[in-house]
Amino acid sequence: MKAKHWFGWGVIFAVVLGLFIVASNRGSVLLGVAALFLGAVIATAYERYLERIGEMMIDERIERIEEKSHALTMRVLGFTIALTFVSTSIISQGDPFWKSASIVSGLFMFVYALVPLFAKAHYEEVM
Amino acid sequence: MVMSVERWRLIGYVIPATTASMLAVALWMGNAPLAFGVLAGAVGVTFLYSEWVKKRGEVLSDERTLRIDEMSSRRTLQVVVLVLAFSVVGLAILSQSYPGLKSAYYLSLALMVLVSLLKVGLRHYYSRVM
Repeated sequence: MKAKHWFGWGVIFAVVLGLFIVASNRGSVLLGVAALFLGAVIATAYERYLERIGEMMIDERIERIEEKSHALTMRVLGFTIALTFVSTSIISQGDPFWKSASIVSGLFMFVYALVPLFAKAHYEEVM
Repeated sequence: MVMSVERWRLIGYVIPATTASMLAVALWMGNAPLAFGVLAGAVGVTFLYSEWVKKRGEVLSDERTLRIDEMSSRRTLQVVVLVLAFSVVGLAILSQSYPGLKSAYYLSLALMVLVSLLKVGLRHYYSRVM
């Protein structure tokens, strides 16, 4: 990828970070979430543009690499979430500071357990 | 044959259910070694179970099932990252007004950093070996 296209990614990152800092200073969750959403939309559009002009070549090998790394990342992440849920749940019984971390890690665990079930069912149907 | 197929499937559901119940008891007792022991035990039993099922020839892992697993992992990771990103942003702002959410913010941020490092690191690793 050419330097000017890397610069494009840098600009997107800087804009999202800037918006996030503004949102944080104002204490507005809505603006923060909107900044993130906008960043995701712009990043996707920019990626499509790079693919169209031939700057980003996605072949079978790259796809396999991506999928293999995703699969392993998922396993490590699942185990880490389970460990954090257990540790924060126990620590929070003595120190209430960790209560919110325990609840949030429980929610992450719920999302982590539920999404693969739907994803697998979907892909088994379509493949 | 139908009965035996049902039995091995049933064990597959019993393992997570038992783990969740034992984990709930360990957390309720506030017993950290027991909780971590249950987690480690669950990993070991799951591994033994999958080996046992493979030996019986019940699960045939072919190219299609592997692809399904990898594609569902990809989709799950995308959803989890999205949830993490929105949590980090929301908690970063909310924790300024509600200090009780500080630990949840630290946890989400740590998980986000971990996912990013793992993705970059593993992509680099597989690019070298594949």
